[in-house]
Amino acid sequence: MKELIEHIAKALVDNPDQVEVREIAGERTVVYELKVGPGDIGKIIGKEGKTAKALRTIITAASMKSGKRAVLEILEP
Amino acid sequence: MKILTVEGKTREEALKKALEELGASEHEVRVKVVEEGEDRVVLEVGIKAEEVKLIKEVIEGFIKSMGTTGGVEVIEREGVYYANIVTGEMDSILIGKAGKNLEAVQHLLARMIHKRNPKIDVVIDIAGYREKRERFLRAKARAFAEEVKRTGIEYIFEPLPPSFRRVIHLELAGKEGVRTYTIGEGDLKKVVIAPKRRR
Repeated sequence: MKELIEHIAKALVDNPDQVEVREIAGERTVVYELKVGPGDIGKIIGKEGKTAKALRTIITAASMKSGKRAVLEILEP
Repeated sequence: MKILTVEGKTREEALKKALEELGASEHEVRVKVVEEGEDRVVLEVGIKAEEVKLIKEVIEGFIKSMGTTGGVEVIEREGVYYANIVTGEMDSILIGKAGKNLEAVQHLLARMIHKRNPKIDVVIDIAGYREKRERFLRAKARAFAEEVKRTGIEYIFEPLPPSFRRVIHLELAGKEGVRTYTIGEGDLKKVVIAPKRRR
């Protein structure tokens, strides 16, 4: 999952080197904190939040395989 | 990657210019009509093999990062690419309920491809789901349009994602006697086929 988030984020931003994903695992939930470089946050959020919403949808879908609920937190740089 | 924008008096003239400059033959290129006037045609011409390679790279990277296996087939239709993804085990998950997850996959992959080349338009499908569903919705739209015309009673579709709603609107756009509109909000938007009011 971490790899998927990293992969998508890096493909969307201007500065892929500054993409960081941190995984915080709980018992039933895993939180993924996504950090991008300054100026790239808009690329992750998208118009009217469309890209962030799509990213969350995919992460929720992909987490069905693992059985743990995945939550994405997009951090402000 | 070379994508040309060429101008000519006719489509043939513009295309010939592009093919000469690219050193390619007609079946090797993707042609998109940007502008078509009476004595001026503007085309955008790109090399299919290069563009397909880029699309495949992006999609294969996406499949791999999900930790699954699979492949993608890419074809070109009238200037737009159609990419059908087939994975070992993720197909139904990636399609989602009523194609909801497919819409998200479409949005993200299109953004990722645009980032590499903003001129490449691609429609994403998973295991042929979109194609089958669109064909079904077009047939359903036509059948219910007749029903609405006959009875004068509106027909309301089930909630559908934007790209599927567009298919219905387009299918009935020029149709006599009926009009279409959308009701609802967000994920619950539905297309309505209504009788056209006589004036």
